[in-house]
Amino acid sequence: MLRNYIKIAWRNLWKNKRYSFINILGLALGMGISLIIALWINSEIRYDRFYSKTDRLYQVYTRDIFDGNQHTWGGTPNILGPILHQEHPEIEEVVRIWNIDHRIHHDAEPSLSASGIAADPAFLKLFDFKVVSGSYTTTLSRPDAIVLTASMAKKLFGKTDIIGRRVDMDTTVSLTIEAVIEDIPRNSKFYGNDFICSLNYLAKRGKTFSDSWTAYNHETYALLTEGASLPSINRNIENLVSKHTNGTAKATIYLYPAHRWHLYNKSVNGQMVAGNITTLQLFGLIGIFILLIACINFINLSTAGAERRAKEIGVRKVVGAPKKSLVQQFLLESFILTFLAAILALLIIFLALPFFNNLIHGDLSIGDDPIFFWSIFLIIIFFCSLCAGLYPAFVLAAFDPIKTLKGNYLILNSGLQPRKILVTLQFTISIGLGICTFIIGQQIRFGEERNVGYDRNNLVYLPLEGNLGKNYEALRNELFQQGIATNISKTWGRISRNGSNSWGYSWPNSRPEDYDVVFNNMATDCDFTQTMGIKLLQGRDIDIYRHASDSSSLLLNETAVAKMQLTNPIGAQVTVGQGTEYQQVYTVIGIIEDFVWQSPYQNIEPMMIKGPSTWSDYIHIRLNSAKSLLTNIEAIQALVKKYNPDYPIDIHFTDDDYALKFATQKRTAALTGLFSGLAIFIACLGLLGLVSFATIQKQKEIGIRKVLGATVSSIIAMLSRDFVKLVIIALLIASPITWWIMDQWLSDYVYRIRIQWWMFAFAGTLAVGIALITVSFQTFKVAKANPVKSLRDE
Amino acid sequence: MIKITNLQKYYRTEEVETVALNKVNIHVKEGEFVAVMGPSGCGKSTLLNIIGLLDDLDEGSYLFNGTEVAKFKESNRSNLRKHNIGFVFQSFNLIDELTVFENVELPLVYTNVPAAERKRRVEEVLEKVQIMHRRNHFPQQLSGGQQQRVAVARAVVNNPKLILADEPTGNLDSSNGNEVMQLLTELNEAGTTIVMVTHSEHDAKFADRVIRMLDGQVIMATQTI
Repeated sequence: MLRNYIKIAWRNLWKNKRYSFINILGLALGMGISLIIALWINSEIRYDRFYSKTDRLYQVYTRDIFDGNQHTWGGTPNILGPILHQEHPEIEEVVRIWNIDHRIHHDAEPSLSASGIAADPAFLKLFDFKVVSGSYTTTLSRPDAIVLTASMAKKLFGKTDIIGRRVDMDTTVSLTIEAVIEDIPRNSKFYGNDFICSLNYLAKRGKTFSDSWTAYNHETYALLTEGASLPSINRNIENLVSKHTNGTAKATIYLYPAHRWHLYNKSVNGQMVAGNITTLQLFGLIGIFILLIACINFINLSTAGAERRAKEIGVRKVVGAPKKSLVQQFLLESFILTFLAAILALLIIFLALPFFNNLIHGDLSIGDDPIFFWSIFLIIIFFCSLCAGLYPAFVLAAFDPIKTLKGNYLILNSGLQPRKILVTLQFTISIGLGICTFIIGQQIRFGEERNVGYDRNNLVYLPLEGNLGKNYEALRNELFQQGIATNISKTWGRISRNGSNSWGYSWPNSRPEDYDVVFNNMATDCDFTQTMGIKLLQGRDIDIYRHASDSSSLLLNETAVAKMQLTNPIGAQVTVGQGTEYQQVYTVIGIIEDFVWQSPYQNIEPMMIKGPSTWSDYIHIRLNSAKSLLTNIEAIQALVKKYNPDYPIDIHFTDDDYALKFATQKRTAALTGLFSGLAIFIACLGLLGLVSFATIQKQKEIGIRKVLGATVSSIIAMLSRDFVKLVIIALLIASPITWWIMDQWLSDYVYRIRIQWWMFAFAGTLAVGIALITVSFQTFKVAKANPVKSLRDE
Repeated sequence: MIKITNLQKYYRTEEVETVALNKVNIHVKEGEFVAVMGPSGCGKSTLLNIIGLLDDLDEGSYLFNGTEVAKFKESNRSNLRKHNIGFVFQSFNLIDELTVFENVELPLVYTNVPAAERKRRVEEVLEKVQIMHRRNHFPQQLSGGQQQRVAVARAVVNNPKLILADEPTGNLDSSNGNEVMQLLTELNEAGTTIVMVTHSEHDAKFADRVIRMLDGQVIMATQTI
């Protein structure tokens, strides 16, 4: 029996190659896409879950109220770690880390730029990365020892067997390599780091950390003892900061488990409840939708094509086939087809994964978690076979043998209504995704077109590293002398990327609660407004060359002035900190126009540009537009090489840098664009198949109409009308749902577009157009056919 | 073998109810060859479908070999059908995707006959209808007469007690038609009961008895000479 089923299934597939192809391709695409999405979701879920003690790993988070809003973040005071360990025995280990960027080299080799972690000794006990050579048990308790990743080791020495060799950090300190570990996996919180060294190493280099309870500049991690109760520990540690500051600092702390770090990485009203998980949920849903669209194709094409199978079903029934065996037969056919689609899906995955990896900046592969992949693969085959095969199997098995054997297929029309509903559902989903893509695209454009408040063109910056600090004046002079720069500003922070913020300020007539107002911070030596192209509204710019007192001068942006309610801001004194230990007084000397420093979709926050009392880390250069960009850049490169020969040249264009602010949105747009395009393509494949069947059924009618004088265009209109109607209904259903979803998505953005009716009209027109083109492939052919042929065939 | 009493069959649409068969009484003995004749729409095919348990009756009684089958459920009907009844249709109704051999084999597949036995019986019956040389061909590759011989082979492969033939020569020329009628006669002579619906007086002469119908009623039953 089984052999008979397989044989007839195979012959049917072969005989109707076109429909089989449409069916298999649609299903394969659906399966391929949903499997890729499943791989992606699985890799995201596995973030930070591979350490041997993951279940007991936590990061210490801080929660506090600013401006009446609760915030939470992963920064903690430096002093917190040791005290936490000391006072709470249920915490087995505590590790503080500090991220550092260095130039590393050995012997006379050129230096390489490297990112690393300086950590307390237990770091590698908590995060036990695999060792390639050496041993790291005691490494981090010694300030002169270092652990390198395999890639860094190979870059520096061309091999990993380098235990005992020494490397120079920033040409100042030499460290001994004690271990080489495998590269830190992409799904680790610490991905991208090239080395790990002791926190004491920084002390050796002269870096000191404040013991202030309000400087949240360390990350602190904790390993709990076996069986420790998280709620109980969180209750115990909650008010630790307040306790040690006699209630002056109100921040509370809590332990945040490792398995949530990546997925729930965004706080909403002080709770870590959003972040990557939202994107994953969205794309998980899209994956299911696309699979559903592909299954609907299968159902529609199977039931619509039933006419071809009607006689066979009739004959089988007449010779005694029970309904059950017919259902089994069609389910088996569905399984065979799904299986073929699954094989094609594997090929699609193989071809599409590099492209998809590029899009998400990932390195997904089937081999990452083969058990997961093949389980999902089998589940999807089973789900598709059953989901797509069950309905057609029952519809077909229910055929009345008398009618089918007489060639009376009227019964088939009973399947028309469900088919229409399914096509409408397909297009509802596809159009919905299309509209989402369009609105996301509009929102990105809206952000890109926002007036940023400074001139991004002809503005470059470079890090102030190595000997550049020492040679800054000489470099500055030469840049001017050679006519490369019109303005130069040595800064703390970059204009195109948000950096530090701080609170704890008071000013004339400020209230105690104003102490919590958060200000964004940059610092400059001079020429800030001219270099950046920011409008100075009142007062003057900071200029340490002319005014030595400008080390304690301050520029405020308009939002800061409004927030501080300063009626006469110029000359106002702003005090940082309370008490004498950290206190510093600044004088406001200028007011600048607001500019976008954080996300272009957020409101502009209060900001202060301080005088050069703070350390500087970047040089911003306004290029001379009279010279070509190439000339200017080559000249800067030559000068940097001259004054800082040990370091690579690292010039950044501000406009490119600013564009990175849209990376997340652009990735979402690219993914939704890709998926909605594929969803529409799969839906159109199904539409094409359905139209083919419909035209076959209406062949006689078309013949008669043509004989009676119908034109080709009127026949096309007649055949297309029904399908276009379904697409319009789909648009009407999709529009309000998409409106609601996109409204929710946009609510994350303060600076956002308003959803307009024409966006739906545009997407709808496009969808109807695509549907019409799809339908016309078949209808045109049929409408042009000689009517005599179809009538004779009848 | 078949005893139908007071059979009533209606066709209903939303607005009209049509009487297809009205108080039909028929008795067919085992081994008989009965032809049913009448103009188009008189109900003869409906009657044949009811006898073949493809359709159900609305009123009346239907005894098949002494068992009341009028109220049989679908599973019982298909079970009785596959073991006792063979069908021959005007339009042959062979499955296009199966070869001659596979088409004839189909009823044996559904009665769970072992493969070796199936092969033996199919070959035997193909020999009988003289189509063995075409066993691996597909229906579209055969002439009408050959297709109907395959259909007859399929109908008898399970050794049914009853063969129901619905205008078996309707799509054939006279020479092929005669061949098929000859086959049916031989089967009847071997003991198979045959009920055949036909428009052809010529074919009806092969039968032992002719039942004539008009407007859903049996108007006459005559013995042929």
